[in-house]
Amino acid sequence: MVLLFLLNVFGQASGQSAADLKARADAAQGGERANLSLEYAHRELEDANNLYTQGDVEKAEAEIQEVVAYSHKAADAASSSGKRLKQTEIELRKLEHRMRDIGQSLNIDDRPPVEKAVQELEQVRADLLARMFGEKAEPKDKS
Amino acid sequence: MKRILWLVWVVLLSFVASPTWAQTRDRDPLTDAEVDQMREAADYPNKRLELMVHFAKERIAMIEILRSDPASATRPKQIHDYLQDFITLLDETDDNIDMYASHHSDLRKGLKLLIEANSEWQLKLRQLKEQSPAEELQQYSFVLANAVDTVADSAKSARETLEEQNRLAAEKKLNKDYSERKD
Repeated sequence: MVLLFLLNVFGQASGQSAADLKARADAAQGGERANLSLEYAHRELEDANNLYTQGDVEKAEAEIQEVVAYSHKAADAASSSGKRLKQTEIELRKLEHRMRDIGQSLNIDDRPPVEKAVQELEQVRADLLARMFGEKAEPKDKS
Repeated sequence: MKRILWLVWVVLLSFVASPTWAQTRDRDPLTDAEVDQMREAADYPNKRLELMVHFAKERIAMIEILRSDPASATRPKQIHDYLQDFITLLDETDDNIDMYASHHSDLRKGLKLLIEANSEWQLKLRQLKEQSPAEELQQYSFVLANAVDTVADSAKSARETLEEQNRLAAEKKLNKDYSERKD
């Protein structure tokens, strides 16, 4: 039992896993929630890229869905709190570009879920811009 | 019975002491004592800005202390958290500036402190990026990049507000006493 206790305290203390980051993002509020959600989304996207490289397409697609879900959470946290709106928009654009690059490096058969996720990220960003500047705002860079 | 109580105690202690439990609590970047000081300074914009700059400086100082200590497994996460707190404090500082400036309160002293501090922070954050071991930096590079952008935005916004305040001061339109503002 004592060993279990020590493992729990010292074992989990090293580094910060994606699961830790996700838990912290879920528990945070406002600007901090937006930041941590985006950090988690970036990390998941790189994990997805590694999984595609290893040929584990099913797991990679699940990670891509996490990226989309936490991009939504970041945008919602920023717009509901009014904090880190600009930074969130910038980070969403970076995520979108990186995801598009990853998608283009995949086999044709594996691309559709990533392309769909890129479109969803575009929409999240467009919605955030609309909340920041009004309904007529559109993403300036769709390349 | 004693044995059962002891087991319950160990399980509870293990849960409470676990980093996961600590991480999932809602964190406040300010301590209770700091919140009290902020509250007491609410009617004194320059004092409040001075306090916020001081608290932000303390977070950066804590990072420097951590960096001077021998490397440990928890150091990257601690640096990550201090950087996140630093960002939250700068966001709050900007919100406070917007609020006081909207009432035409005289913030010039506090803004000058913030502008000077921003230059210092830009340098220290650059050093952190350049001098961190690669495997550590990987764990806080995202939040560090955010901190760098936040300092740059804060510096730009503080300079613009100071210019506006100088213009208002020349026109004698700045309020020296925030508590006597017209809402």
